[in-house]
Amino acid sequence: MPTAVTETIALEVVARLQTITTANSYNFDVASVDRPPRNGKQWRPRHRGIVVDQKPSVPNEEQSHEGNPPAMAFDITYEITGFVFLSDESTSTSDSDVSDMEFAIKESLAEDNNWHNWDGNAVNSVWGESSYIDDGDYQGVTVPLIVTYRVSETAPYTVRA
Amino acid sequence: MSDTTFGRLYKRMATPNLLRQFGETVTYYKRDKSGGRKIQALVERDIPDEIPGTDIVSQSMTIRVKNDSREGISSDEVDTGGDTIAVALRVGQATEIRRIARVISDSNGMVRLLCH
Repeated sequence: MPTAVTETIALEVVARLQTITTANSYNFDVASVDRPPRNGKQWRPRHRGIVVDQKPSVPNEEQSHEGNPPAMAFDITYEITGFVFLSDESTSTSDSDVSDMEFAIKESLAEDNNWHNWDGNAVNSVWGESSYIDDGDYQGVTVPLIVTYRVSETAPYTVRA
Repeated sequence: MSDTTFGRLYKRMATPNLLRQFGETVTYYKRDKSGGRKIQALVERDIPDEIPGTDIVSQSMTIRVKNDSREGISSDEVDTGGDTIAVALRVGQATEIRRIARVISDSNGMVRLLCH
């Protein structure tokens, strides 16, 4: 059985985020890019680590098409969270590192003019509203990536981008 | 460092006995990855829960160690910005590295740490 398009896109998201390195002219090297398992085993939050968390698909009727069979469009959100941990002894604000993380995430994913269709697997991609994590124990930023994809109604593994 | 009579007695008598009877071996690493100090700790394994501000699940645990820079972790050396502990998520399993997220308390000779 072929790979579901949402998984194909998720793997490409991870691959692009892994290019965040100083060798690629970013300001830092990403520590890790993870899709944690159900109970967090073998995973922990790291300074400059990124987590990709996939959310359920939501029907998008505007982008769906009639046909035989119809092409059904969905929006899927990938919540991309980057963690930043400064030392207890640091007197600097974490805002600059958080901003750097947010922009590095967006820069790495929007790699070129066709970044939004994920190698022909999606109709469009947009950024959601970012949110900061700052509760004392954790600092970081969550950047939602909303991807619209289209599949055949009778063959969901078939992309109809 | 605040020091009460109870605290001194607890540190001298209760802490070693608790660690001897109920402790397990964990390894403490500093932020710069140095250290690798094997110490005894009382480990309370909590259920997996979401990291605050996210939907990401991680198993948290509360670890109590002697407030000592040789036999435990001293409250003035721990850095929640990167120190880690190697501890088993379940008794009998291999250890995993967990981040020290918070110093919950440091009274009476013991340091209580929240780890994720």
